[in-house]
Amino acid sequence: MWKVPTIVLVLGVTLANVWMNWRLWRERTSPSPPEVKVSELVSDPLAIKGRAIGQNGIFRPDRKVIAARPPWSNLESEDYHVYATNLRAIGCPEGTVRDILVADIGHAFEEQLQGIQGRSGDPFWITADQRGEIDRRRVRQAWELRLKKWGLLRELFQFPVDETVLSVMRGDGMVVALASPFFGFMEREQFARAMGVISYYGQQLEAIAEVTEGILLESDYARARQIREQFEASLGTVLGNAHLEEASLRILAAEDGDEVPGGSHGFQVSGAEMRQIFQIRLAARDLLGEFVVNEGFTDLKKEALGPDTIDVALARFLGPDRFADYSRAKDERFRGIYTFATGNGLSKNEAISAFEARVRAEDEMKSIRAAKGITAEENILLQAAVKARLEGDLKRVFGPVIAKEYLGDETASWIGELITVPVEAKEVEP
Amino acid sequence: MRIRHILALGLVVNCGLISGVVWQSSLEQGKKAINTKPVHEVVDAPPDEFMVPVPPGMDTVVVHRAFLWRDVESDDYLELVGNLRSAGCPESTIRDIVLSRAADDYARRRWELLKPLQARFWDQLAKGRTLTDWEIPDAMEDQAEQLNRERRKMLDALEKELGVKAVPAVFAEAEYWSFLPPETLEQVRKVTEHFEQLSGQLAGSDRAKAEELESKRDEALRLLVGDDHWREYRLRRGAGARWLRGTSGLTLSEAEMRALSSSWETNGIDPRRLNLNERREALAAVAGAERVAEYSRRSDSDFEMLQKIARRHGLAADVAERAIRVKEVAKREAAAIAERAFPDEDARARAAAALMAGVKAELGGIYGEQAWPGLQKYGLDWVDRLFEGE
Repeated sequence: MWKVPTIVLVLGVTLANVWMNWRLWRERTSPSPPEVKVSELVSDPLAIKGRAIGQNGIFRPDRKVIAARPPWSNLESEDYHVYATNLRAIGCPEGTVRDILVADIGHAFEEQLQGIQGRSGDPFWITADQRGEIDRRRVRQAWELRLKKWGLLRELFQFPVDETVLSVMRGDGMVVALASPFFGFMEREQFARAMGVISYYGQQLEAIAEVTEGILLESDYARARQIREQFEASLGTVLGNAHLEEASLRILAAEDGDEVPGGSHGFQVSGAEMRQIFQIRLAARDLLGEFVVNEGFTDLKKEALGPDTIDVALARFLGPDRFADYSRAKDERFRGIYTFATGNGLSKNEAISAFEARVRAEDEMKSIRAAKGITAEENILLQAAVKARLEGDLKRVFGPVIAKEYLGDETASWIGELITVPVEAKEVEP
Repeated sequence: MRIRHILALGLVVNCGLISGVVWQSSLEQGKKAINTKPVHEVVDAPPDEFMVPVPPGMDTVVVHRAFLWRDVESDDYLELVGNLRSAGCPESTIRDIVLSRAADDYARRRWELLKPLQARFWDQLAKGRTLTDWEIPDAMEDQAEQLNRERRKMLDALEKELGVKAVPAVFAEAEYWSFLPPETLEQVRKVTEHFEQLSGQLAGSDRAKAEELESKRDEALRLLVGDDHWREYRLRRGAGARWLRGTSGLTLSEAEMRALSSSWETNGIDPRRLNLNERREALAAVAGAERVAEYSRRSDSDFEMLQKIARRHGLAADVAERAIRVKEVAKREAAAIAERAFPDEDARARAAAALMAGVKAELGGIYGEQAWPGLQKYGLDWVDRLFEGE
């Protein structure tokens, strides 16, 4: 007798389990359409209140359609945080969220700025000092507004970016033209963020300098030092140490490129060595400090290593012979001789000999000019003797034909200027 | 035996089914855990369901039925414009989205195109080449140019579709006409702009026509605003008003400024062409000798800096003025020391040092202890230069 109820019970339990499995499978494979969004419009009569998050830990949106409102208006909010949340909630790509909000905030900022800076409401018959007072207030308000805008943008995107940075990045101007070959080792997005960081901290410093009218007190310097530290940390975060170093080296190369002879005028160097040379030079510089100084905080300049210290490090790196090549190649006097010599089929060594003859002659001329106890005539005679010897040296090094050509070349005009007539000799001239 | 088999089978099947229930429930729980993540963490790949965190400062969120970005997204810019319009997106936002995206896309392509160049950076520098001397492969250069052309074409097409953003024109003359009611001001703006356009069409060297156009414009404006308003405009536009409004250190009331401007305007005087004394006389006639003396002191080259320092420290407005008075006295005393006979140069140097120290101490007393570092840093150069003429 108990067999039938037992079988029924087993069947019942089995069916119940099968049904539960089926329900769960259905729910998992056919989720409700994700047509939801979040907005702050609590007071909106068209809005449908959902359960508060935290009420039961799970947010279950009402699926009712609101047809009376265009869908986009449901996203917009006067609170940019909410607007951003709404855009992100519908799956708007982060780049587009940024395009929308940065532009929107930029327009709002411009409007408010015009409101601050517009002079149409100012009384006309006021003195320059009265107008100065109004302008100072405006400057302060404009900076407050500008920094507020930066603060908001930073909150929204976790890094500073504004409409100017984005516009430069999108443009076809000089910055972009130079940026790819120079900073192409970064991703474009990383470069944009670095620009944003530079702009943001630069403006913070500029704000202090402008609002204080350049009267920077210790408290301003303390703030500037703090900004500098944050600036450095932010750049480090955005770029990472390796990229930060590479970017610094390239900026330095762009600034000091003329001072470092690259592969020319008898100094042969590889790309890797060139980089190493700039690394040595970078150790002597404080690029970020220079940036801060440029914004008006002159006292923040760190003591830079002198050129002698850099030269010692470079000599150690290049070795004595190549350092001599490096030093000569930086010297305009050698460049002229080298270009002429190699252009006429002569060797680097011959150019060096001619250069050394020039340096020797110039040094001697200096001593003669400084010499006391000789007459003006003697002075000129001695100088002429040095000049004649120099011309002899050049003939010996270049050979008579090329030397003659050189003496007539415009790059050799310095020889004609070697002899200076002493003042007293000029006076006795008839 | 048979019932035992059925029970065993039932047990095995139900154990399996219960395991299924437990497994599927755990999957559901896992999904909920993912969904409660902040949305910004999953923006690039929207989840099938959105569990959105409560924005800061809110304890309730409200739900609307909306759309997903993927419903409007398109690789075709014009299609994207259409989709956004259908979603009710405002035109200005569509402009921001589409023009930014198009410009970004081209900039990204250009960045990628030129990226290989950067690898040669140090090698190029080692060859003594600056960026302008870099050898850029012809193919790359052609592609860059092609890309620029495409970019311009595309942006032009999009701007045509979306309209060029209107930039509100700035009416430079507005402050001279600010006394007019808004509607008249608007008419004045239109007339002025009309004549500016005509003037722009003139050949640069046709001076006679330019002057004729100017008279026509003036006549049109005079008829538009009436004689009284025209006179006020002329007064404001005149050289006198410009000088009075632009010169620092003057303390004048509106009535005084008007009186002076009016007098100069009537007599055809340009104050910028008057010499210092003539200007001071004219000012004294209206403002009195005291204020002219004040103006002279404020014209001192160091006054502005001393005033800035005072302002920076929130000091009274007359502090800089008192400092300039100290400077006047110091200059006279320095001149006296320079002229006086001293037994030797050391004695003269001691007198000079004593004067400079005294001046600094007096200024320190005027500015106070708190402002002293600022004054020392920015405002005392002139003290050290008192004897520079020697």
